[in-house]
Amino acid sequence: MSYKACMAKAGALCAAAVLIGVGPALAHTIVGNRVFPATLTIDDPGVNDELALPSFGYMAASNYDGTPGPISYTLGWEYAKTITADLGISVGSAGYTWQKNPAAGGWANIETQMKFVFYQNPEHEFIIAGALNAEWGNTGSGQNSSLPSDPNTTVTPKVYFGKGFGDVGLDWARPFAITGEVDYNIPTHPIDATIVPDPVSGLNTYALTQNPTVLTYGATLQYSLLYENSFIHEVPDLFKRLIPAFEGIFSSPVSNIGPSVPGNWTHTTTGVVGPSLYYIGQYFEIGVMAQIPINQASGRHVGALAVVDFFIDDILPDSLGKPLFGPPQAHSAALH
Amino acid sequence: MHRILTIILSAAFACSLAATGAFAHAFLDHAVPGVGATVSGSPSELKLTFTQSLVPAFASVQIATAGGAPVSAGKATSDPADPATLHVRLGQPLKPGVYKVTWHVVSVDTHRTEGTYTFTVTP
Repeated sequence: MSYKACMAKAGALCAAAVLIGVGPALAHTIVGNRVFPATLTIDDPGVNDELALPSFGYMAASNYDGTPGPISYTLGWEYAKTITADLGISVGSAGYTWQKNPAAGGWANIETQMKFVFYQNPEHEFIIAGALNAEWGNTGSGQNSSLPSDPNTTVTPKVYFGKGFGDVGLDWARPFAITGEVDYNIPTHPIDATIVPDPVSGLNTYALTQNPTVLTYGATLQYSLLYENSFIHEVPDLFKRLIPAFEGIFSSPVSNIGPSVPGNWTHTTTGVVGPSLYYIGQYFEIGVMAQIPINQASGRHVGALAVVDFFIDDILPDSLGKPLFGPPQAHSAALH
Repeated sequence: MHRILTIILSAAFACSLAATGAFAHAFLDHAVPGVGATVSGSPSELKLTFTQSLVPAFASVQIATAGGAPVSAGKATSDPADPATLHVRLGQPLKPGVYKVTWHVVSVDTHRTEGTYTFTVTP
């Protein structure tokens, strides 16, 4: 592999680490009178019929020695379909990445996911769900690409929760909600072995690369002007469909990490935090976020995330937008 | 690419701003008297406008004092010009004080929502 290709791959891995929020994990959920928007860093805790197209990410990485690293622009997508009111599947991808410094480009792998809502309580705006996600190795750009996709499949069990505070007695607190997600990324090939011929001795050597298991965890704190307008006091028209939030996501390698080697961040927790804003329209949502890297391993300066998310359940409520089996979610509420 | 993204996102945002309805669950968009508002003198009716057209037969609105005593009011009726709006005639002038409105509605896509809000009447 050429130096340029190596740098491109390193850049891709770094970009993947800091652009984890761009992945295909977007949907909105309604529990009682609470609308949990499709957030940018983590998935929301429910299942729905939606199309996220496009999701956009921008981040400038930093090299280990402090010099500017790759700059990445990513356009991704995800389609989510309900099987029943509580069971959904989705397919998507982090999509295409344009990279500068060094110049490269390539497609990310395809991801599929099955998600199930274990419990929801409309009165208390509470929901908890679990999912099994698979990123299928070698379904993106090939290994000869300037930005190859991960050749190995990764399986990820996930847990989600969401809680709105519409049931508390304090008016100032009722528009708030929190959501969270915890993932455990398990590579199906923990160790890659590659035969590398030594040009001097002519002997073959084995190069071993460990693919660590990674714990990914994130949360959002939301303030729903939508909720405030409907239930507490009216807000100006310009703001009544907005949900500002503060969110973050982090990834920590937890096992199969290998020895710490100067010159890489294999033992480092990476993540981004930042403010975000969601506009809930009639048939789609728009979200934007400024993602602030938590350390040098996570990025060089502030990046950006954005998404346009179409509500298929509202666009085509009688056909593609309803569950394949059984009735749609009741979405009833009994607040106050 | 910057230019293309700017155009895409700007167009999408403009479209969303142009949308006059809401996602297909009927939440209260605005009311007269307003949610959490203070009005001078008694209104003659309540007017509630939702984010989604309603099924009038399944809509109900009750009003009570802050102490929970029900206030006489007529049945919620749909606005002929706007199926997302309900009108409720008050059976008596409201005395100064805080009032609680409770609504139950079903949107045309059959999703049921309900909620409460308060407003204040001053002399």
